Amino acid sequence: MMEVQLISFGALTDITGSGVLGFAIPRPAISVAELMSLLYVRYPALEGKTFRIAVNERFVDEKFEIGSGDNVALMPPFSGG
Amino acid sequence: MEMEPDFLDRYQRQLSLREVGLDGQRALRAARVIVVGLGGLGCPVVQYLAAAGVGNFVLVDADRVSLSNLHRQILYTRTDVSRFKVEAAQEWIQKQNAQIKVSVHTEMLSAKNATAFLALADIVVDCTDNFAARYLINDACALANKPWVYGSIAKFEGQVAVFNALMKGAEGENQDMMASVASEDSFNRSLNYRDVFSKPPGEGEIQNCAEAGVLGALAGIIGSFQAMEVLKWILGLQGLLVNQMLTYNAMNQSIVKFQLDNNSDRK
Repeated sequence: MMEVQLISFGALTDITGSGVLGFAIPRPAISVAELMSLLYVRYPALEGKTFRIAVNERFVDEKFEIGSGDNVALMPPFSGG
Repeated sequence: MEMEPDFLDRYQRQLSLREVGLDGQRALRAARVIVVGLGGLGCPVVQYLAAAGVGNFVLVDADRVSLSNLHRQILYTRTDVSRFKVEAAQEWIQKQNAQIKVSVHTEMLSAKNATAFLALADIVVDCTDNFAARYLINDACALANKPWVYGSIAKFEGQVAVFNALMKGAEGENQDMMASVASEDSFNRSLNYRDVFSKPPGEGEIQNCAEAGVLGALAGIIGSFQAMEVLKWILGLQGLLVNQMLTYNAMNQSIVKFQLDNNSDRK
């Protein structure tokens, strides 16, 4: 099965749960933009939230191609001080 | 700038580090650091930097100490409640070392005063608790060509980065220089906060400590990370957190450093 390892940070763990979870992708490689739309279907509360995607510990933009087995992090900005 | 007569004794444990030594200690004494926000992050930042011998502080915060601050802002005590934070912090610093110069400002950083405040310092430490202040620091530092050390916390997690630092040569070399560099032509500025998060989240989207809650030790850890980056920058050490963002999770004691670059669309 093709999937990425999804990990959320900050308050996004309230939406996806904490810890690493497997998230199925339909093809061996999909763009970040496509992954986002799949995430919004599975987790509607993510829509409208501010966060960046990092793949294998590198921040990427919407055109970046994600492959099966990649580690995908959802990183929101933090506010507290 | 004059060192205190007992400085060899006072700073012996760090003078003996090859990375510090006499030159490093003098650099610390000459350094001018502005700390914006004297809360959970600002307290450990000020305490560690003052103890290390940083010679000049500009402290900016309009808030007064409240009882609910004391569990994490451990510079303050019960008798400081209702005092301006910057004044209590100034007193703490000068008890620590009367030769340290401290200027205090009981106002919030604003678009009106940011340029004037930044002109007083070599490096800025962001210890604020809101996005408006953080983006203001970012943009003002970009205009003024000043580096700033970002820190922020959310429940059991924290983020730390050094933004807009001057780097010599190739990206990632981390060879930051003091602001006294004569020409910036051969230097690059490291990426900044807007390269991570281009615009602020919506009003109320992200909770602050008052809303979400926080354990004091986390503020101490992230503030200490920030203080360490400031010391590394002043001392010109390798390994600054430039073009990356460190995240810390206190629940599983994990640290991840996320890389930032301008070519993020390639695989």
